[in-house]
Amino acid sequence: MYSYTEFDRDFLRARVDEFRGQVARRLDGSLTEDEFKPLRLMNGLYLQLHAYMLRVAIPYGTLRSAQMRKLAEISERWDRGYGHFTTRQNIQFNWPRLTDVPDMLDALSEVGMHAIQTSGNCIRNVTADHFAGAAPGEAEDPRITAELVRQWSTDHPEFAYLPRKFKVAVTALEQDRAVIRFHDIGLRVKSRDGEIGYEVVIGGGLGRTPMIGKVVREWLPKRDLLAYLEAILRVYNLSGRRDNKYKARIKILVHETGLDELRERIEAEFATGARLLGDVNPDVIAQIEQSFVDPEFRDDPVAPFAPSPAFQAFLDTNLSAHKRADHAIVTVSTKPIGGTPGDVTADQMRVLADLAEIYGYDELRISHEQNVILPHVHRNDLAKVYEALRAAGLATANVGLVSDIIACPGLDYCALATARSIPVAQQISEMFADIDAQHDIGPLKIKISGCINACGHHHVGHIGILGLDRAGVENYQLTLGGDGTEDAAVGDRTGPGFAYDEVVPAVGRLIHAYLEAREDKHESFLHTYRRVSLAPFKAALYGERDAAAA
Amino acid sequence: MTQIVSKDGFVADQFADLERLAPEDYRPGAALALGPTADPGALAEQLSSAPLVEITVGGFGDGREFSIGALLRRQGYRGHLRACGPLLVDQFRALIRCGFDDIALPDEMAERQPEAQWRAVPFETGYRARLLNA
Repeated sequence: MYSYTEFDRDFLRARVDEFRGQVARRLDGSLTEDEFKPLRLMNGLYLQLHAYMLRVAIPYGTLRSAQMRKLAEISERWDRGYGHFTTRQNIQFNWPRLTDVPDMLDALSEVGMHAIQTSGNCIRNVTADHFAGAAPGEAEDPRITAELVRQWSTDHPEFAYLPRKFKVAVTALEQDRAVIRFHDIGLRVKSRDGEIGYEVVIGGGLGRTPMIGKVVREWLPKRDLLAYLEAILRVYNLSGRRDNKYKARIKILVHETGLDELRERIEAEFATGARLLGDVNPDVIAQIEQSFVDPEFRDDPVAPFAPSPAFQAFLDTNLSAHKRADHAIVTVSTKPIGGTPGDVTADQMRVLADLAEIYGYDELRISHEQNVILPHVHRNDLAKVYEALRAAGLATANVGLVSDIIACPGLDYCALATARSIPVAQQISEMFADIDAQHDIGPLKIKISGCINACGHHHVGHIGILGLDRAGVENYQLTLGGDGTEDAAVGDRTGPGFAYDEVVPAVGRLIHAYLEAREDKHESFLHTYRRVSLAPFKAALYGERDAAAA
Repeated sequence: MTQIVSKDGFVADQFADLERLAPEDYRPGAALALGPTADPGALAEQLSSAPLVEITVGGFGDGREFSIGALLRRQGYRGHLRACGPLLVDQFRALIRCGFDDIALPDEMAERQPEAQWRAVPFETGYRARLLNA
C-alpha cells in the first residue's frame, strides 16, 4: 500500500491549515457564501437537507486498518457513530458541525487521509477495480496508475475550476469492475510486447444524459500518461460548455464535437505538450511502484473443511478467486436485510480493521457497490473470518444478489433528491429476506437513484429505479438491462412510473417474470433480459396493474 | 478601480500608462487585452511585442484563464502576465503556478481580502511540479 511521504504529509498539513483559515474567513465576512462554496466543496463539505455532510476520500478504495479505526473514532466523536460508504469508494459523515470540520480534517490527516477534491468542479478522487492487486490476470496493479493520477491531479493548478466535475477510473482487466465506460476518463492498463500502457476511454457518464464512453486511444504508452491526461483536460477546460451545468460534462463535449474531431484536438495538444512536459520524476514512480508489491503471502497448505449450510451460502456469494489458489478475496456486504446500503457502525468498522490486521495483511477495500473487501485472506482463515463477521452482523450472504442493492442517500439526506431511495432498497431487501430464495434468483444488480443525477447508478442496474417528483408525489421509473461492465449498456425504460407504494411490488413482478422466462437456473436475469427483451417484463409490470385498475 | 496584487503584496501598477488593446486592434508596444475565449495559438504576432498580457476572467469560478496562461507560457511568452477579475486569495497559488505574475483585483474584493491574507499564501512545491520536474 502507498504510504505517505514527508511531502504528502506536509501538503496535507498545509491544506488543513488553509481550510481552517477559509472557515474563519467565512465566519468573519472576508468570504461571501458564494465565494466560500467552491472552497468548501473542494474540501469535501456539502450543505445537505439537515446538516453539513463531509465526504472523505478513500483513494482507489484502499484502506489500512489504522485508517478504518480512525474513521470509526471520527464517527463517534463528531458524528452519530456510523459512516456511509459511497458509490465512489468514499465515506460520508452526515452530521458534522461546520466548526468541527477542521478538527475532523486534522484527525484524518493523522492517518494520511483527507476530503480534498471529493466535490467541486475539479478532478475527483480517482477510483479503481476494488479487487486490484488480488484478482488474477492483471497486467499490473492498476493502483500504481491510480496513485500516479492521484498525485498529478491533487491541487493541479490548471484544473481546479473546470466546467464541471471530472472523474477518472482505472482497471487492469478486460472484465471491468471499475465501470470505466461510465467515467469522464476510463483507463484500462494493458501490456503489449512486455510494455505497460493503456486503452483510454473518454466521455462516459451517468446523470440525466447517460453515455457510454468511447475509446479515444487504443494504446497509450505508460510514459505518456500524464501528458495525455493534461491534453484531454486542457481541451476540456477551454472548450467544455459553461453556459448550462447539465451540459458541462466532457460527455457532452464529445457528443457535440464528435469523437474524431475532439481526438484530433487532443492529439494536437498532446503532441506539443508532450515535447515540453518534463519526464515524470523516476524517484516518485519507483516509490509508487514499490508501494504496491504483494505482501508476503503465507503459503501454508490449504486444509479441507466442512462448512455449515450458512457458511457455505456465504462462501458461494461473498468469495472471489484470488490470484493465489491458497488465498481468497472476501467481500463483506454492508447490506443486511432491511439495512441501509453502505452504512457501517463504528463498532463494525473496528471489527473490519481487526480482521484486516489479523487475517488480511492490513488491507481493506471499499467497492463502488458500497461493500467492504478483505482482498487477501488465506483459505485456512475463512472460517474464523466468517465467525467474526457473523458476530458483528456483517456476514450477510448476498453479494451480487437481489438484496445487494446500490442506493443513493435520497430524500432521507440529500438536498438534491426528489424521492426516497433507502426505504425502497430496504423494502426490496425485506421482500427477499429468505437468503435461499435470493440464491435461487441468482446474480441481479438493482440500483436506485433518488433523482436524475443518478448517484445510485440506476442506468447501469440490471433493474434500475429512478425516483422522481411528479407534482409533489414520488414516482419511480424502472429501467431494465443496464450494465456497467465491459459489456456496457444503458438500461431501457419500461414505461410509465410507479408510485412509492407500487414500486416494490412492481420489482417483485419483474423478478417473478424472470423466473418464468429463464431457460434454467444458470441463465441470469441480465442474460434472460437480453434474450427475451422487454415484452414479457412489460406484460408483468403493466398487464396486472391495468387489470387491477379496470 | 482595481488593486494589483503580486507575490510582494499590494503593489502599484507598473503598466498603468499602457494602452490596452484587443487582438484585432493591436499595435506593437501596447498591452494585449484578452478575454476568457482567447485562442493563444492565434496570437503569435501580438505576443512577440506585448510587454503585458491581461486576461479578464469569465466570472467567479470560471477557470479558463488558468489554461490560457499556461498555454501562453508554453508558447514562449516571456512578458508580464496578469489575470483581471473577481479572484480569491485561495486561487493565487494556482495562478502563479500557471505562469501569472500578478492579478488586478476589483477594489471591493481587495477590501474584503486584505494584503496580509495574500502575503500569507504558501508557495511550496506542488504535486505536479514534483512529478514532472516542472
